[in-house]
This record gives sequence, structure tokens and C-alpha cells, in this order.
Amino acid sequence: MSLDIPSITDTMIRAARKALGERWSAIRAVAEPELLKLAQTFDDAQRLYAEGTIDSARAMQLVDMQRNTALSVLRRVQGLGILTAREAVGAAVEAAGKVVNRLIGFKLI
Amino acid sequence: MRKRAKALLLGALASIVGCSGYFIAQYNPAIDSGATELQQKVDRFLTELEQTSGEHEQYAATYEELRADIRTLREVASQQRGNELTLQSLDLIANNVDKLEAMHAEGISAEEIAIVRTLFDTQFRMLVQLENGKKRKEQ
Repeated sequence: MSLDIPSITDTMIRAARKALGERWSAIRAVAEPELLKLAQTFDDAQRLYAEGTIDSARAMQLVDMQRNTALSVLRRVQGLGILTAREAVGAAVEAAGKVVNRLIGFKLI
Repeated sequence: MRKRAKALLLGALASIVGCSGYFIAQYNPAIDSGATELQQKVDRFLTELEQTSGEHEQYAATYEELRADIRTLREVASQQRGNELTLQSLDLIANNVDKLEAMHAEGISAEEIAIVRTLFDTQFRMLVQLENGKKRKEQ
């Protein structure tokens, strides 16, 4: 029995890359529109300040809330990234497992 | 040499398989539905605030209720390992509730409420999507 390590490594990398590739567009699809929406609220707050409707202290309070919201978007993206990483690792292990299990003759992975 | 390489590879694969389940907590329907209900509650509150321009004193109990709801969700989330992102998301929402209350106490206009509504809407949607992402991965 011999394991072709470069081949297994290559199989794992290809499987992980495929899983990430499919998910990258999902991460982008979540982050971009949310951050654009957030930018719009910055614009609205800036307009209220420029018009004199709110003072600088109130503008700062709104910016603090916007900062928290931006962090909420990042938590969501981080979560998606972790789930994606798990999916990529799972895909890599599954791909390698098929090769390894076949070679050793029992289901190790 | 070859045996050692095989052992290393198999060890690495086994450890990856062993650790991969602990990256993030499993889907919890109580957090999902609780976050959705809380989102609706905040939205109704903001609508009422917008329409009535009510004084902060009238709504002191509402703010306490919102904080209690967040604490309850936090308690549920903290019982699962790997739920740090959910806990942090809830803390960020709680922090914005405090900031809204501070602004309300000083007086808040309909235009400001419109901005705040967008911010809360985004925060809750991100939290609900985070929870639903866990569900989808488990299916």
C-alpha cells in the first residue's frame, strides 16, 4: 500500500478551493449591500448635521450606533467565513478520506 | 520515512476531523425566533415613538423590557459552545438600545428615528442570518 501524498494534498486543496469559491460570492453578497446601506445612514446623519438639525454631540451618538451596526455586519461575515471554512475543511477531508480509505481498506476518515 | 509521512498525514486529517465541529455553535431555533420577535418589538416601538414623539419617561419600562429580552437570548446563547459571534451580536444590539435611550432622553426627531430604525434592522437581520446560516450548514 502506498499513499501518493502530493496527489492527496492536491485533491484536498482543489476540494477546499471549490468550496470557498462557491461561498466567496455569498460573503460578498451579504457584506456589500449592508455596508452600502450603512454608508447611506452616515450620509443622512451628515446631512442633518450640515443643516444644523443636529449638533456634533448627537452626530457622534449616531456614529457610535453606526459603528456598532458595522460590527454586527462583520460578525455575520465572520460567521459565514467560519461556516465556509468548516465546509472547506469538510470538503478537503472528504476528498482525502475517499483516497485514504480505499488504500487502507477500511473507513478511517 | 514513508511510514512517518503517512502517520503524520493521517494524524493531521484525524485532528482536522476532530476539531471541525467546534468552530461554531449549532443552530438554535430559540435564538432564531427570539431574535425575530425582538426585531418586531423594536420596530413597533420605533413606529410608536415616531408617531407619538413620546417622552422618555413614558417608555422607561419598554427599554427595560428590551434589555431583559436581550439578556434572556444571551443566556440561551451562552449555554452553547462556539456561540461567541451570537453573543457579541446581542451585545452590540444591547449597546445600541442604551444609546437610543440616551438619545431619547435628550429628545429625538423622526428623522433620527429613521436612521436608528435602519441600524437596528441591519443588526437584527445580521443576527437572524447568522443563526439561519448555521441551520443551512447542518442540513
